[in-house]
Order: sequence, then C-alpha cells, then structure tokens
Amino acid sequence: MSTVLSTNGLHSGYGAGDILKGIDLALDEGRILTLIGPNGSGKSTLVKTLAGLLEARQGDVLFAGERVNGWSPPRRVKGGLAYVPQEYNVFRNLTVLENLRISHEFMGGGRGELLPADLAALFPDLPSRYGTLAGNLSGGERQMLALACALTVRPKVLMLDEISAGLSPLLSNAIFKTVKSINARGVTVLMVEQNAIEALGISDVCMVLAGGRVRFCAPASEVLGRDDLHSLYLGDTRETA
Amino acid sequence: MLQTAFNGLISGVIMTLPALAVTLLFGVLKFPNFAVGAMMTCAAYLVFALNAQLGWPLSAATVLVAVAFGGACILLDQVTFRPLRGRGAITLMVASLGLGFILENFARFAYGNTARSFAIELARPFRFLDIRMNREQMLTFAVSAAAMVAMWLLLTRTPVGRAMRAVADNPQLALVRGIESERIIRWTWFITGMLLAVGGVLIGMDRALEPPMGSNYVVGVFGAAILGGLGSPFGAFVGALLIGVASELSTLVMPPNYRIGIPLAAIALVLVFRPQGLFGQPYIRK
Amino acid sequence: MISFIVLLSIVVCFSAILALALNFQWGLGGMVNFGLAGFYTLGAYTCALLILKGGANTFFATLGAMAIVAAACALTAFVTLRVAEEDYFAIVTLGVGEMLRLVSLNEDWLTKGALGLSGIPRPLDGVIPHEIYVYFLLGLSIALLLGTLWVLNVLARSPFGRIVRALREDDVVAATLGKNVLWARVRVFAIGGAFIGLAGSLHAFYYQYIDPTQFTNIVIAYAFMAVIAGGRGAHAGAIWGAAVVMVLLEGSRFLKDVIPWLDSDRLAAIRIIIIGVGLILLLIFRPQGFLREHRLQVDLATATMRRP
Repeated sequence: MSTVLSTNGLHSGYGAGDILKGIDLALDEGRILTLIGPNGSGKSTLVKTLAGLLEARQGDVLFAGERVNGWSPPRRVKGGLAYVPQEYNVFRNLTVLENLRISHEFMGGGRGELLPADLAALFPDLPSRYGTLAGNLSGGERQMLALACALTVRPKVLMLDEISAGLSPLLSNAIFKTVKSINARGVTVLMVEQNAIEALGISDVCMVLAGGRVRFCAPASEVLGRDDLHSLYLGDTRETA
Repeated sequence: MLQTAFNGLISGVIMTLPALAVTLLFGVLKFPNFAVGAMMTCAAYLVFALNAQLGWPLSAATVLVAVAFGGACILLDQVTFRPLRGRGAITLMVASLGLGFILENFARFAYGNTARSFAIELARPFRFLDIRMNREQMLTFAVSAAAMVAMWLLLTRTPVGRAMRAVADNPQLALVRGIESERIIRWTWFITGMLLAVGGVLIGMDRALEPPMGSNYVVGVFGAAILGGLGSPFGAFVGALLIGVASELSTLVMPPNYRIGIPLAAIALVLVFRPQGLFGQPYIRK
Repeated sequence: MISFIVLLSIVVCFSAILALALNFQWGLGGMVNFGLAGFYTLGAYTCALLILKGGANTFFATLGAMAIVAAACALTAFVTLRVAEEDYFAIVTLGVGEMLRLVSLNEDWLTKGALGLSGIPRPLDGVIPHEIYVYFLLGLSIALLLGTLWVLNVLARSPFGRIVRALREDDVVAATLGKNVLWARVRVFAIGGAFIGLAGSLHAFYYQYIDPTQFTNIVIAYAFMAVIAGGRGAHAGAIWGAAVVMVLLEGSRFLKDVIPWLDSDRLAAIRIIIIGVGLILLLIFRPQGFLREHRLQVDLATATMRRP
C-alpha cells in the first residue's frame, strides 16, 4: 500500500503566527481518512494548504511521490489532487452543465464524457438539472454538483471540506454513501468533517486535529469504539439524536 | 423628440462595446479600470494613422488595429497591473488612472489637440420615419450588433469564455478547478482590447478624434456597466442603451452640458441602493 | 533663484495640505476621495467668489470656502453612508468631483466659465510691504500647514479618531452599529473637506487667477503621489511626499527651456506622461507607502490566499 499524499512538519497560516504547527500526515492509496477536531483547530487550513491555496511556510507536501510545495492549485488539480471547498463550491452564475463542462475542460479532460461512466452512475439526478443555474440548486443538489465537478477527471485523491455541512440527516447519509462508492471506484479520500460519527462510519483512518497539531491518529473503527469520544474534541452535535 | 431618442440610441449603442469591456475587466480583475477611455482614444488614433495617413480602408485598418491592440493590452497589463495583482482595488484604480493619463497624452503628444477625422466617404444623411440618420450610424448599429453576438457566443460556447465567467463568479474556486488565472487574464485583456479598439473607432466616426475623446465617455460607460450590474455582460448591453437614451432625452429638459449628470446619478443611485445593478450578482468580497 | 524657491515652497505648502486632507479622509476614514479635484475647485472658486462678488476679506472668504467644501463633503458622505466598498465609494466621489468641475466650467454667470476669475487679492496685500510680501505669504502658508498637521493629528488620536478607525477596520461591525456612530464617517469626510477648502483658498491667493484647467484630474494624481511617496502612517510623510512631488513636477516646467523645439502642448503632454509613469512606479515599488489596503482574498497571480 503506497502513500499517495503526505506531509511532514507542515506549518501554515494566514497572518502573523501559524495555524498549522507541524503536521505529519500520511494518506495511503485507496483509503478514506477523516479529519476531525474542534473549530479553529486548523482542519480547513490544512486542506487549503494541501490544495495549494495557502502557502506552506515550513515542511513538505508530497503527492504521488513528488514534492508539490511550489505547485499552483491548477497544477495540483491537473495532477490528480481534487478539492471541494466548504462554501462557494460551485459557480453560481453558470448552469449545472457548464459547471461540469468547465471542470472537465480545465482539469485535464479531453473530448469524451463529462464524468467517467462508473462515477457518473453515482449522480443520476444531475442530468435532469443540466439547464439550471447552480446558484438555484438546493443545498443537497449543490453539494452533489460540487462533488461531481471534482470527479470529472478521475482524481487520485479527493479532498472534501465538510461536504455534509448544512444537510439534513437523510441527505447527509446519502452523500456519505456516495463518497464511499467513489472510494470503492479507486479514489482516495481525505475528508474534513464536523459530522464525525457518520463520517467515521465510512472511513478507514481517523485523525484528530486540535490547536494546529495532530493529537491522535488511529483506525476509524477504533475511534468509534471509544467511550471518551467527547474528550477527543469531536464536537458532534448529532450524537444525542 | 423621436430624433433625440434616436440619437440617444446611437450614443448608447456606441457605449455597448466599452461598457462590456468594463464589465468583463471588472469581473475578472476585480477592479474598475479607468484607463479604458484612453485606450479607446489610442486605438482610434492608431486606426487614424493607417486610414487617414496611410490610405487604408477604415474596415481593414480597424481589424488590424483591433487585433494588435488586443495584444498591446496584454502587454500593458503585464507591465502595469500584474505587478500589482492582489493589491487592493484602490491601488489598481489609481494605477489605471495613471495609465489613462499616460495613454491619453501619448495621443496628445503624437497628434496634438486639434480634432481629426477618419478618411471615409461622406454619404448624405437620409430620413427614415421622420428621423434623420446617416450611413455611419447604420454601420455602427451593424458593427455593435455583430460584436455583441460574437461576445455572446464567446462567453457561452467557448472554454475561454466560460472560464472568464467562472473566474468572475469565484476566482478561488476557478483555481481549484484547474483554471490558470493568469492565462484567463491575458485572454480577457485581448478580448477587451479588441472591444475597446472597435469602440474607439465608432466614437471617432460619430464625433471627431481628439485626445479626450475616450475619457469623455468614461463616466457614461461606467454608468452603463454599473447600472447593468458590474460583471454582467447582458447588463452592460442594456445599461448602455438605457444610459444613452436617457442622457439624450435629458437634454430636452436640462442644459446639454450636464447630460453627464444622468450616468452620475445612475451610478450614485445604483451603488447606494442596489449595488449589483439590474442584472448583476452581489459579489461577496470577504 | 531665492524667490523661486520661496514661491515653490508656498506651492508645496498648500499641496501638502491637500495631501493631508486626502490622507485624513482615506488613511483614517477609509474613504477614498477620487473627486478631490472637484472639491478643490469648489474651495478655490468659493473663496474667490466670496471676495470678488461678496466683498468679503481674505480671512472670511477662506473660512467660507472651508465651510462650503466641508458641507459638500458631508453631503456626499451622508448620501453614500451605505456604500461600504472602498472602490464603489471612490467611483461615486469621482462622479461628484466631475459634476463640480462641470459647474465651474459651465455656469458662466457665476464662475465666468473657461475665462476664469482674475484679480484675486492676497491676504494682507496692502498691509505688508511689497518687498517682503512673498516671505510673509510663505510664513503664512507654513503656519497654516503646521496648523493643519496639528489639528488632524489631534483628531486622529482622539476618541473620535478611534471610533473612525474601528469603523474602517471592520465593515460588518460598522453595519450593525447605529446611525449615530456612522455619523463619524460623515464627520471625517467633512473635516477633510474643510482642509481641502483651505488648500483651494491658498491656491486662489497664490495664483491670483483661477480657471477650470488648473483643476483637472492631475490634481488627484499629485495628491496620491504625495501620500504614497510619503510613506505609511504619520501625516508628516504626506508633507514630505508633497514636497518631493511638487519639486519634481514644478521643476519640470523648466523642460520648456531645455527642450525649446517642442511646443507647449507637447511639453504639457510629456509632463503628464511623466506623472502617470511616476504614479505607477510609486505604486509598484513603494507599497509600504500605502496606509491601508484591503487585499483581495486570493492573489490571482501566485494563487496564495491572504486574509483581507
């Protein structure tokens, strides 16, 4: 099992001071890794740094065997590192079809189908909405579109920042099922989630981030089985439901 | 009054191309670019050089200059705005003001302050439905309409056009969807450079060529783009026509020198009450 | 030569006051006044008209000009209270400035249009002996400049200044606060306006003749260059910047003697090109000269993200 995405001693941040204070991460091919932690722990910052939107101030980011610190976001995504941001993750003024088309065109797809056939099957409802402006979609539809756009050119690694945010339990469930199926079709997944229980339910590995550092990293099943979930800063409000 | 409205329509049609340029530039580059007036002036003088001084037919001169000017705008961007990428909108606006001074005065230096005109056959005006029109105005309609159609096709049917709309919609998302922003910025300048060149020629046909010819239109063009909604190409088109007609009609009740008050009032009203204009999307600047 | 330096220094003084006003409105208040030229015009013309048509003396005319421009700025700021974005505000002020300039050009009955107003007296002209008058005027200008600097600094450090700074920092906070606090923005703009009026009055006194061509948009280029060249923060920087800019630009009038084979139109064009180039170079190479910038969230070229 090879490591497809890893960091060592990663530091990054926005202004003065680092938000990430030395992250070591290793994501093996074909796995699903879920990143959890309290607000402000740096989860989103980490994913943005991996995507290239934030510069790594210290440490390396290695993807598919190469050091990609100097790679721009377009270069990374063309190399197979796809990213779905948490908010504003679709082009609201473009239609669903245009969103998919543009992702396909610029992420390196040539002629051919917008989505690889096996992945397209996971989004049966999209074609009927092709003509709709992305800004007019419902929350759940928008997340599905954002997900599909990241898959138009089959990525090696898919990074999701709170893909289930704002969704009802039913939709949330559906999205996690979709993510699991995506993984089953050969895409490695890195997820940031507040919805820890459900996310861990489909994951292989769990990593807990707090205060910009890795506190804990273990197989997901192990984490789920613990009684002291709260003490691991899960912050999951659905637990009591 | 019908004549006034018609004149306003012509004036509005002339403004559609630069208004579209302004809105595209704002969408992709995220700042209002005040150099557009002087750019039109320079391009018009380049066409003048080929047409009146070297004897080229106006259409051929315009086509050549349009393409060349598109390239020139890319260079101007590399030198002036690229070093300032990511700086605040005010910095870029001030830089664009400076660039406008430079370009306009290049024209002034080369050709002085006296008014010039293109070397075209003067055809007699004709009357239609009791409105006086001339051949140049028909040509203006045709050229602008063709340019609008071409732009619409570009923006909706080509990858570059879609990418421009995507970058205008969400620059950060565009990056992670594989769109190289500098490439799109170069394309945007090339296209707007062409629009501005043709716009300059249309102004030169309608009025004389003189150094302030383009800058005189800046307030009107911005009024049009803002009224229509900065970032919305369709809005720029509608806004231009509205501003053009309204400005001319205003001369029936106000001294003509103050017709600039119409786009100014439009700008103030829109920015205070409905910043996204008629057709724009509120751009969330975080 | 000495008298040239004295005269140049006077010009530097009121240009510096103008730069300080821009600095105050923008650096402290976060409101960029692209209509500077128009308000400057208003100040100069108001002062001149109060003397020539109203019979006021130079002192009251100056006060009148300051009050009128302050009021105009207050009105502008009030109308645009809801416009939170810097660049939108700048566009609106550009428009207002343009309108003011148009009025000066077109309302012949009031301003004599393109002919301009001549015969503007200077303060205490008859009182101070002719031989030393320029030195008096210089002294007066310096005193007014220092006074401006003092007043604006005091205001910037006061509780009022703190409120304004807080409003500038965070638009969201500003939006949730009531009108009473937003009035601070109007006051900042108005106070800056008063000093624009002062600069305009001094301009009128110095040249003793004003016409619309003196107040083109080059004025704003000068003012911005002064603010940028001067450096971040302290108002004193704007003065230093104004000095540098003015010396270079007024000094370039000598080009005429050095390059006699170019006519004045062309020389004027070259000077403006130099200004434009200078402005852009300053923006590129002296970023620390800019007091406050809201950066775009994404640097498009290097694709890195920065917090605004």
